Amino acid sequence: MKISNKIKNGLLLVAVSGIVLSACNKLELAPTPTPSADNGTTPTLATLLDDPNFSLLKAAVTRVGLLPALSSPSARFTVFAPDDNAIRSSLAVIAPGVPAEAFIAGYNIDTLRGIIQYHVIPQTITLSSIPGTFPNFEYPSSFNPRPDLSALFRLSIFPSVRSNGAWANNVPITGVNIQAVNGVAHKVAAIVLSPSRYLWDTAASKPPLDINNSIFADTSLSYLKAAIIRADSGVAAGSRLVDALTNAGANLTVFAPTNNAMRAFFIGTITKVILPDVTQGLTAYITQQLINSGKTPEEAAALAPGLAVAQAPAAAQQKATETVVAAGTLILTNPYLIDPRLGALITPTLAKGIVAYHILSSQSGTYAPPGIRVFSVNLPATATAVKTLLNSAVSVHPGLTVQATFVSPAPGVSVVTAATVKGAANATASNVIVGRTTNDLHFVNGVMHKIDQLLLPQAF
Amino acid sequence: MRKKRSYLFALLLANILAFAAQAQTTINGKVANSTTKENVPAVSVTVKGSGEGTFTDDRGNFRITVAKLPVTLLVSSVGYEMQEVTVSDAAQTVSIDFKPSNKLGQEIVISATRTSQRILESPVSIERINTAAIRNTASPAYYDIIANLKGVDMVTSSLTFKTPTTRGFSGSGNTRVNQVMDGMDNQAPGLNFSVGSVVGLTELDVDNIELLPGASSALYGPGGMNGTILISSKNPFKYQGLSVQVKEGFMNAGDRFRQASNYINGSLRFAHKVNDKFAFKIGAEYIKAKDWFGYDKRDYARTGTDGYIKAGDRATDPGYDGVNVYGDETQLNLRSLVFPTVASQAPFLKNFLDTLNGGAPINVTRTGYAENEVINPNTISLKFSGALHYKISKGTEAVLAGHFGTGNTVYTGSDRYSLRDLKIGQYKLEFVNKNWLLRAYTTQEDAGESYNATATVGRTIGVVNPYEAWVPKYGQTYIGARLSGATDADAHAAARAAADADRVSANSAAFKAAFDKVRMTPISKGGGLFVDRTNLYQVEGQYNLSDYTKSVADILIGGNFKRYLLNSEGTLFADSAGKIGINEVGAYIQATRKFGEILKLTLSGRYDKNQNFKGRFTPRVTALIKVAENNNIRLSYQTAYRFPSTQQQWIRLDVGGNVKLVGGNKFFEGYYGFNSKPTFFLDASVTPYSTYEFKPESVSTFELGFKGLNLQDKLLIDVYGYYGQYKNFITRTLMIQPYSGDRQQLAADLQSGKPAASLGNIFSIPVNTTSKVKTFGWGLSLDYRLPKNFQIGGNLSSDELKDVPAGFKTYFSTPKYRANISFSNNSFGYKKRMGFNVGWRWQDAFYYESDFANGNVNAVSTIDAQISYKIPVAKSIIKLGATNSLNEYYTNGLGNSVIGGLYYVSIGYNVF
Repeated sequence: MKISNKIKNGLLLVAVSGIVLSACNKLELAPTPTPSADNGTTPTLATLLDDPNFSLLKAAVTRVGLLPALSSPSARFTVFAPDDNAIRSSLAVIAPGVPAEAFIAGYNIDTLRGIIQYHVIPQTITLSSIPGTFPNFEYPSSFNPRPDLSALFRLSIFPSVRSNGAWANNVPITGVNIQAVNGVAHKVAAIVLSPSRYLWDTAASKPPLDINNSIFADTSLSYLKAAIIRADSGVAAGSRLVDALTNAGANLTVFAPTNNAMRAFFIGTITKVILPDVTQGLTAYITQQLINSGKTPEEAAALAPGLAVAQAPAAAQQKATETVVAAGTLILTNPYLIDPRLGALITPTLAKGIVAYHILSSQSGTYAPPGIRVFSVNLPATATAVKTLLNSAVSVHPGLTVQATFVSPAPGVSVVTAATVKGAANATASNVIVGRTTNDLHFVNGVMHKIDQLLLPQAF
Repeated sequence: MRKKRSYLFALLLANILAFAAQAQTTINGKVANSTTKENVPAVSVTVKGSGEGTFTDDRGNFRITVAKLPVTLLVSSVGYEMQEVTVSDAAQTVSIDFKPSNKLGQEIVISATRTSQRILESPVSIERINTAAIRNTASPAYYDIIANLKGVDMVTSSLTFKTPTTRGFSGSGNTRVNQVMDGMDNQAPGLNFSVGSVVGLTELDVDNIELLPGASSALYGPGGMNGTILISSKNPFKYQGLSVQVKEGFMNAGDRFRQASNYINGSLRFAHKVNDKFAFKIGAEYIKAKDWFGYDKRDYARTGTDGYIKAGDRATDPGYDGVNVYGDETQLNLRSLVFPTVASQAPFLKNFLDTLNGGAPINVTRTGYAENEVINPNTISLKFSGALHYKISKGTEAVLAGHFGTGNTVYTGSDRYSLRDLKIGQYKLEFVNKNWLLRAYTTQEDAGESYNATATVGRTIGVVNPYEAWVPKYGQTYIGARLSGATDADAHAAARAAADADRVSANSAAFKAAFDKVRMTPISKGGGLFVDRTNLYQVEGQYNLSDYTKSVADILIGGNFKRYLLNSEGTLFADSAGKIGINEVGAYIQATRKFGEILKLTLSGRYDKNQNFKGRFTPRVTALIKVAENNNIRLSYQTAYRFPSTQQQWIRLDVGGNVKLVGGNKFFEGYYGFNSKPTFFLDASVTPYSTYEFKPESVSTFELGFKGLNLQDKLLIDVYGYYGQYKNFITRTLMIQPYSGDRQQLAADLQSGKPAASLGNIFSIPVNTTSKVKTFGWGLSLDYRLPKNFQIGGNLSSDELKDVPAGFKTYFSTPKYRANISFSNNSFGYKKRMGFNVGWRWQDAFYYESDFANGNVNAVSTIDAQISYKIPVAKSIIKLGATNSLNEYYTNGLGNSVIGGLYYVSIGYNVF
């Protein structure tokens, strides 16, 4: 074949190939979806409740209409799941005599829905994703008790993890990270009751299951109530302590000194105030008694002061006690009526400082809430300093020293048997009064622990 | 004395007139195609031995005056065999049967050495397109033919905006290719792209196009690093008469992207030789069509002018940023824009918000609009041209010419730009002698109502549905959905649905009203309009000293002065305070000497100085070795360099995403405080900024080539290989001035995955690379003349880049291989009146890098075809043509237009 023919045929061959090839331009213009993890469709959180041990919870979930949401593979939830035993034991305390099945079937459905929703967290939170730092990991539940305030409002739940256990609020978590395609479940030892009242709640009625009295209503805290009123006197609405205590968005931990604790403080304080007068009065009284008993005036004048000094403290305390008992909370709301000197001492500023010292503050945070909610189980096992709202005014103040004592009734489960909190100027630590109606009193906007001493940030 | 002088003058004049009356004889003649009998216009008719000559007019007639008879006339034209005709009697009209010839390699080129020579004897690689090729092309526009030349890559930004490049570094609006139209640099002085395909010569006025691939600064000045394209118009002395051509057809067959639309292209040219001294021409061309558009909706990960294609779509990526979807470029981080406000009002959500998505940024983008929704598809191109030619004396011609073009088109720079009512005028006065040249010209640019489509859409969205409302609504709905247990994807879907509840269609009156307002507002004032009335002024001269120096060498010298006057009123350049002037001056010299019949050496050198940069010298050495008749080996060492473009020196443009594109002029260093405020490069080490010298880039190229005519002159072979090295390569890099002002904090934030745009102000600045990037490649073309006027040809070429440092953005954007095959015949069938041309073009897949988008471009294969029929009696030709005839959509630059088939029928009158 001639060279020219070879070239000619070669070019023609390429040309024909080109015609064939030109019919297949590959044009990539369409976006491709981002690959998504396929978790499958089972088990869902709803199917986990098919376990016979969760029959009561399933019944409650079903009744309040939450089952479809927990059945959706595309949803993401975390459920704190009390099993049947946990529910029964809880109800035995909070609704004694009512069978669990009957309670679930008959209880007010809206309230029940709130309780159930409080056990459900949006998104998947495994225990490992909860930081073990003090005090806990506030997270919104699915329960919005105040949709009138905001569609985004949710009651928070406060899971926490420590080496000796994990809790939802103060309820021990007994089984962790039960995986479902749409989230995770953690088994809890009791119903985690959702709060319904505020720390300062003037409402006359309260839900049957919420037995907590607010500071406003608790007669054992009337001195604290008076101190708050005294602290707020002259303060504009919106900046008062009461405003914080009634704010649904607040998050406070209040160490509430009982009336006895407050009285003890005032008795001591008044004793100090009146002691000179009492001593002076006793001196004159004892002098006269000595003269009456045959001593010369000179002899009586020499002996009486020593005797008066020895007897005056008891007398002053007696008088102070009588005064405090007689005055009641007037000693806080209007101390001038009792003694001008008391009025000058117990100023609104002092009252505010004292109250602020009983409320814990957040330790840090970029856009941290103004407070923290510390359940007794969140207290450290060793004495630890924590800040209070007083630190917002006096940043260098050492704050309070808190400590709890834990016991472990079961492996991985710990409960608090005792707790103390000590003020910087207190000689001894105040005891948290451990009991169902005295500590871990949970409110919408905080938690309260009653204590047996007033906490003193400085000496008086 | 005065009287005596007057008498002498009168006597002299009388003698001259008497001599003329007595001695001059006029020959009239007619030239016709020996096969088809059609008249042949623009045929050169010269008197052998005298240099006197003329051209046939549009009817094939010529008229030439000679001193005496008999004379021998040399009759020649490309595509015909040269004939000698002896004329003894002027009384008879000389009829010449002009025999067509499809002999290869007979063309004359000028650009290779600025002097005329046969293309076979060019000392450097050169490609040429002549009028016959333009007549016979399947392409609807002559400019498109360049893409079929060996080694050429073309980026198609739109129907009328195409950018050819050779030997790598392809891109829309390439500044590394010089384009010269009738001696005028036709780069838009402010916009920096060459306007040849937008507002260049009208098709009927194009005489030829010459392409010098690769480095070519030595003769044509700064810029020709990747080729120089020279487009020459038709001289009215040679090409005369009225020519008209109308093409009408349609685009977008098949409705894949949109319905078929009309394509109209009409042009006319009228040239008249008034007498032997004066001729003029006028021309116009009008194109109207619905443009190609970019339809790439793939998700793009963008950081300023950098980025890559990634998986994701509007439904699955809340931060979706479609390549050709606009308004979705800015990443809005809910974590920084919404969450703090929500957390301050609802502290109980703090941990929830902190832990969403593992604490990572939650970036979302506005729902954008696709290019075809927002850019006016109507492309219009209107060109006018005119020239007056006057022969001052024998061999000296004065030309006063003007070209004006206006229209709409779409261009791809750092964004997609809709050029509306763009106006560019080029006006020149030149004097041309066979030995010297003097030319002055100006380029007057007016961007009209051109706007940045990306910025305009983004800002329009902000007007229709303000960001201040959209972002919180999106964020709060998203948070609410997540609080309800929704997955991230479902929450984003719900949030977008809520935030976009008031979103309007691009066709709505509200959107259009806002869009029109934004696009007419300057970029610097929050709109999308860029004002650009930058002008260029140049004077240049050249002298051929060969008459004096030929005993030693043929020597050519020349020089030029150029002044840019930047004027964007602060919308494109940093010229808010007033126009910015940039001066350049250059000079060149070339010496050529033949050593016997075997070797011809040419030495060239050019020196240029820009006021903002140090002077540069660029040498060139070429050798042509004749190995046999019509067979030559060529060797060359060429250099080229490029002063940074006016934009690379002075641009100041907000390109979205908190990124400013700025120039390399020292002005910016002080203006933005690069050297006084904490400023860091966005590299792995967040290197602190330090003052640097911004330099011109340069390339040196070695080339070896061979061009030969063999097999009884039926086979034309052209082959070349080259090796080039780029130095001080100009690229862009990103810097940041962090809000924190702290380097360690910046590094930590970047390490944690926070988007740079949220950490500070970002600047894209031009820099020189220290690495020497190397390129090499080769090309081969074969053209074979078959019997009966059939011709087949093909070319294959390759370009590669080597020694590229890791992570270095080269903008090479060039396929490794490309090929063209063509098969044609311009005279066959019934009375040789038919013609056809079928061309196949293929280019390999490659990675495309640009300031707009980076990513893979797939291999492209297209077939263009045309068939024509001549009607000699009407001096007309009818053509049925198609480009991308199989309507296989493709794109040759990521984010640029997607091109489908274009089909047309044309009828031309007196097209030569």
